[in-house]
Amino acid sequence: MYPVNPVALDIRLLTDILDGRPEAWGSEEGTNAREKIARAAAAHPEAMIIRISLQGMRRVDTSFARECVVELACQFRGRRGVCVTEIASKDVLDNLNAAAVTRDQPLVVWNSKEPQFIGPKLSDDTRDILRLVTKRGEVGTAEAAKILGKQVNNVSTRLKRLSNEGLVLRRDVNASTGGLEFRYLSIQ
Amino acid sequence: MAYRVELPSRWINGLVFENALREDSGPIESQEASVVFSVASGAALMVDASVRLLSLSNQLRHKGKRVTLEFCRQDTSTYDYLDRIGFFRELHDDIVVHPERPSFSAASRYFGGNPGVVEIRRLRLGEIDHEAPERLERALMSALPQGERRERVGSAAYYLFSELIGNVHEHSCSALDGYAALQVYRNGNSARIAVSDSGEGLLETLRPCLPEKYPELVHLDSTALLMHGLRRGGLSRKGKGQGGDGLHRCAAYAMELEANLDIRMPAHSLRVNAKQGSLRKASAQARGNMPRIGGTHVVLDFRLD
Repeated sequence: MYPVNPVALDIRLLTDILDGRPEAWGSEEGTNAREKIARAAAAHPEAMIIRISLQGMRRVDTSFARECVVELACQFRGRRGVCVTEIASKDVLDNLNAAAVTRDQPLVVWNSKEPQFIGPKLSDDTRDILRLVTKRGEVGTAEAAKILGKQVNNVSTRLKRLSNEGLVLRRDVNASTGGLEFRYLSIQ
Repeated sequence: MAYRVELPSRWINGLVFENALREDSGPIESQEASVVFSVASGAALMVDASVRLLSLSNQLRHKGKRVTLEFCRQDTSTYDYLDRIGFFRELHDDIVVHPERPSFSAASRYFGGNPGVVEIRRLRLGEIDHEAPERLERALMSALPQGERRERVGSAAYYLFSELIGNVHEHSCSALDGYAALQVYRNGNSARIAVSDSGEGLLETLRPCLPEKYPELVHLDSTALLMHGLRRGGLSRKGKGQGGDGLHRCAAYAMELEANLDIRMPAHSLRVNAKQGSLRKASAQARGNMPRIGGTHVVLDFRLD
């Protein structure tokens, strides 16, 4: 059972992983960084969300972004949520997006109060569901279907897929009617 | 009898250097056991030709050939330039230099002290210099006036270097080191970036993987395959989703700089003109029409204003 408000593990790339160096590039460095983050995550099994802050990072190239962040999101999708915060420059965001597109792995980015979903293009329906989950923080399948005016089966399928892709977190709760209900949480 | 390459009395960029090699299949595959590069009085090697000469000389020596570089005694300008950028420091010890090798590298004296003229940086395989892209970026930015253009050029140059140098370390698979260099040509208000390795070659490592990893691209010829990689990315010998975004990002930054991009491989070369939002193939050559040079050599030249 996942906690109501999922615990997040906050990682500052600059200070926690790169020892203060504000430029990160290359596949090898990206792989090393990912392994460090994964070890930190293993040491905190209670953390359902891994938040990677890029504050202070002046340069992050596409190869590093792919091996460190995008591969991490791939590794944990369906089990833990990964999001990126505090991206200082458009170049870094573009490089992260390019890596996410190539890897076909969507990624949640928070640079303001509204999230961005970068990587592979999302359909309008998918975006509507994501906006709903983000706005509420957490939503159940039936509830989402009612608000969106769509069939429960349709919304259920989409939400499960979004969870498997790493765009939302899923938790199981006891339903009032007995049995389990799936609830979907925003990764933030 | 030596295979002689005469580097003429003029500005020598990568293309002029290639033309000087044009004799049968080139020095690597020639029968001669010796190769002589003769640098004429008045020859002015640009940084990309310098790096290519360096790579080729070391490749020839690695293949067991006797290599000699001849410079003119009366005109030492090219010799002095090469010394200042670290050429002789990186040249294998067995390679003979006439009239003589510098006894002490001028690059070591000037290291990092020539704004806009950056020494050839060795890319030691297995040993990544994490500060290389930043140092090269700073050298370029030091030659530009303050302003938005300076920031954009600096950023683009950083990422070009990081991706190209990263590719050398990851894919070169060579016993020989690679090289990265940058030069600002103030009179022309332009800059030139060169990154070279002596590996198998970009296409040569990619093509054998196509039937298994990218069957839909097997039918593409070399030029079309490269253009696909530049425009769309995602081509990696490891397979789909496993990389190949470096070259694509290089193309994106080349478009931002409106650069000319040259990619020279053992049996193929491609020249692309990059403008904002578009990549246009300017020229392409394939085996049978060009001498063999080992490795992948990427050059970008762009205006600074």
